[in-house]
Order: sequence, then structure tokens, then C-alpha cells
Amino acid sequence: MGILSTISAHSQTFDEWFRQNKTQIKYLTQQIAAYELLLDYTTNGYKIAQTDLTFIGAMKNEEFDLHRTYFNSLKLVSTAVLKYSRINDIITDEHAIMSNFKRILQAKNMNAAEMNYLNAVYNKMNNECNRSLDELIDILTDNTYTMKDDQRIKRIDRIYYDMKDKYAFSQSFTSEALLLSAQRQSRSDDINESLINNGLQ
Amino acid sequence: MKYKCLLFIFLFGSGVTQSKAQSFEVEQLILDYQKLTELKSILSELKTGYQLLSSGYETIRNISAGNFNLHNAFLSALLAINPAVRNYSHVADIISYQSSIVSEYRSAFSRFKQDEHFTPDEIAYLGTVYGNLFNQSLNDIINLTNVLTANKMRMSDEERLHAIDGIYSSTKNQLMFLRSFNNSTTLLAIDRATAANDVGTAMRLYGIQ
Repeated sequence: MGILSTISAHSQTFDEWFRQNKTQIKYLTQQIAAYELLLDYTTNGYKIAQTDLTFIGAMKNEEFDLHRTYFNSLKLVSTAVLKYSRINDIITDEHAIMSNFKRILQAKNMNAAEMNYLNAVYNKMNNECNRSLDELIDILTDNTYTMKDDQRIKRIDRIYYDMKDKYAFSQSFTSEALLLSAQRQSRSDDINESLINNGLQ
Repeated sequence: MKYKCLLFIFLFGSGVTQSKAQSFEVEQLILDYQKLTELKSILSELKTGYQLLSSGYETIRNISAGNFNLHNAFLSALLAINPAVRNYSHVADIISYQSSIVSEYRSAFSRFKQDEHFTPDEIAYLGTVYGNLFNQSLNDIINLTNVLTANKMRMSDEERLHAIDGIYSSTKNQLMFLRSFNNSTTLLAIDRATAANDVGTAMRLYGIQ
């Protein structure tokens, strides 16, 4: 009866007064039907909530992965950057600079002071080249710098132009030194020849 | 199905003859039981539903927190100094150039101050030039310190390297200017000394002195 009064709390109908048993059965049946409906709604509601939450969760996860991949990628050097053609150019130029200098270090007709000077210039250049290469290695190593690809490319470009400068300097410097050496050689050859010609030797 | 079993048991347990009242009670009992079952399944549905929502929210919350931490770490890293940046070769260059600037300007200035071929006005002018140069190089040092101090500036590695490159070329220019300025001033001093020497010799030759 308690449940009954909550179902229709306002007033009691004729049936409720005069056909109590039958009415109660009827009400109970109605209640069960209502409960079934409620269960149905609840289940469906949660199903919708679950689907939506799963969707939101998947989106969030995807976004998170996206950001994580991006931030991690900044620490890594992409293969495209590693294949950048100027890296090879830099290394080729460095080799050329070194072999240029190796040639003048064996130049003849230089006195000790001049050789010291050539050695000093060579050492300075060698240091500078090594520093440029170290810088290049830093840029091309994972987890050293946090940089975007274009920033790495720009850095490589800087080193490239720097190395080109050094190469140009080494070309003109070594050709001058070699020219000097050759001039001295030809002069001393001339002197020797005239000594021989004049019967002095 | 359960309540049908129950009904079965009830029927046999209570005997074959039943009054109308009893049959009503049985029916009501069955329905009450059915109601209870319904309520129970609603309750369990509610419970699993809430658990589901709670774990779903928890997952999303964790992902959001992870995302936040990721950004936080990235943004905090912008305030910190990467060791690779600190060890950037141009940093050492800047410092050695700075010390060259200071020592070279000091020795040159003291040399010029003792040179009798410069007027006090000229010495004052040299002093102004050196003063400006010194201030500029001090500014560069302050800028370099700011770039290399954590929590001062929010900068990426590239931005810091770029800033260091800028300070490097500025410092290099200052040193180059200082050297050419010192050279030309020295040349002037030598010119004047030679000229004075020539005049003295000529005077001596003519017996004027």
C-alpha cells in the first residue's frame, strides 16, 4: 500500500476503494513495465555516454600523441636533413683546405721563420675547420639541440658559407705561397745556370 | 523465470486448495519479486554505468594531464639553457675577444697618453672613443649573460644560437675597429715623430739649434 500511495498521492480512485486487490496487481504490473523502461533508458543512456567518452578519449589520446611526436621530433634529426647535399660539400671543402695546406707545408725555398708562419696559419685553419665540423656534428646529432628542420638547415647553410670562405682563403693563400716558392726556385735555377754558363761552378 | 519457479514451489508448498485471498497474495508476491529484480538490475546497471563513466573520465583526465605536462616541459625547456648552447664555440670566442678588447685598448691608450705628439684634446678624443667602445663591449657581455642565464629569457635553442651569433659578430667588429683605430693612431704618432725628427735634424744641419 505504501508504494501505491506514492504512485497516486493526490486522491484515491473508485477502483482503489472498491477493487483493492485487482487494482494493486494492475499497479504493480504497471510499475514493472515502467521499471523495465527505466532500465532500458539507463542502459541506452550509459551506452551513449560510453561511446562519446570513448570518442573523446580517443581524440585526446590522438592529440597527445601528435604533440608528443612533434616535441620529440624537435630533438631528432630527420633523414632529409641528414641527406642535405651541403653536408657533403662542407666535408669536401674541408678536405680540400687540408690538402692545400699540406702542399704548402712541404714548399721549398722557405726559411725557418716563413715555415713557422705557414705552420701557424695551418694550425689556426685546422682548428677553425675542426670547430666547424664539431658544430656540424652537434647539429646532426639527435638530442643535442631542440630544433626544427629548417633551423637545422639554416645552421648547416651558415657552416657551409663559412667553410666556403675558408676554402677561398686557403686557395689564395696557398697559391701565393706556392708562387713565391716557385719564383725563388726559378731565380735560384737562373743563378745556377748563369754560374755554370760563366764557368763559375 | 525465477518467479515461475517460486510460484511452483509456493503452489506445492501451500497445498492444492487455495483461497482467493491466498492466490492474490501469491500474485502480489510474484510481482513484488519481479519488481525487486528489476530494481536490482537497474541498480547494477547504474553501478557499472558510473564505473564506466568514472574510468572513462579518469583516462581522459590522465591524457589531458599528460598533454599538459608535455607542453609544460617544452615551455620550461625554453627557459633553461641547453648545454650544447652553453658550449657553443662562439661563446668562447666572444669572451676571448672581449678580454682582447679590454687589454688592447688599455695598453694602447696608456701608450698614446705618454706620447708627447698628441695634444690633450686629442687624448680626450681617444678617451671618448675608447669609452664608447668599452661601453658597447660591456653591453655585449650583459646580452651574452642574459642569453646564457636560465629563467631570464624564453628562447628556443635556435634563437639563443642566433643571439650569440649576433653578439659574436658585434664583438668581432669592435675588436677589428679597435685594432684599425690603434694602428692608424700609431701611424699618426710615428708620422709626427718622424716629422719632428726631420725638423730637428734640419735645424741642426742649418745650425739653428
